[in-house]
Amino acid sequence: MPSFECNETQFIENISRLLDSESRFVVNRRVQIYDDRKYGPSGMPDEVFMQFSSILARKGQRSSVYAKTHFLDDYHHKVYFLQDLLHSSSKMKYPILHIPYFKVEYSFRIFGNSYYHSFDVLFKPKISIEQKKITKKMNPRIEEESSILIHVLQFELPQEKMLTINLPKKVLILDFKKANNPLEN
Amino acid sequence: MSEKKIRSISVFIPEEVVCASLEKIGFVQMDDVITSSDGKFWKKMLYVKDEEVVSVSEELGDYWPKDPVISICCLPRTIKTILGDLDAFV
Repeated sequence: MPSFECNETQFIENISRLLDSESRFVVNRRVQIYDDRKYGPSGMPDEVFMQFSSILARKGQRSSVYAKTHFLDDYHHKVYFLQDLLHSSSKMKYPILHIPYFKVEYSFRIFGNSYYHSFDVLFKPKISIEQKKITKKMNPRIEEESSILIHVLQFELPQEKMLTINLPKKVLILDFKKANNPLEN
Repeated sequence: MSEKKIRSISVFIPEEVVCASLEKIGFVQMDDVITSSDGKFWKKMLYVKDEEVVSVSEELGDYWPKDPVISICCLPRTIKTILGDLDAFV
């Protein structure tokens, strides 16, 4: 079955045309959380990297990223120390510090063809200074457990409404976890 | 009451102008997130007015010209107003 990838504009305009033609169709949606090292701080545009600027340093986009201070990555329960290399420019695909995200996939099928659009929504970083208990599990260089004041990096879940494409109520949207057809995976 | 319609357009108008135009007709920004699609990073802003929703996505990074993607799920008269305002700017 032919499968066509659309950008946001194409996907929405296609649905708009189908609605105008009064065609019957169902929109499928899958929303899944990922934490697979796809997004590291080196590849981020400056506008995004700025959100990490109190704890991370780099010369420019696609340059190596280092810790600017000791900090706790509260989401992954890891502690990094000053000047730790967190994303090497020579290993772009393997960031040590990485950002979790939701992968959102929309598709519909009509006349035997499948049309789909997908996008990733990154978790929002939030940096604070807090008293935290630091354990050996968080970094092998930690010699003993202690409670210290440290920069804390947290990742906040994006709101559910930011994970959707807004469609009129008459469009039937069905959520799914896994498709049998590999084309839809 | 008429049904909501959808439209999605890409315009060569600065994102600030698009957002100001939406705020002028009563839309309020609810949230913003960083998204990634088509190998690019985007700042997606969600504007809401009652049951009507508009998202404005602008590509991040050093490039020109800027052409934010505006996706609208609104009543037909609101869509007409938004598109009219943007046309007037062009």
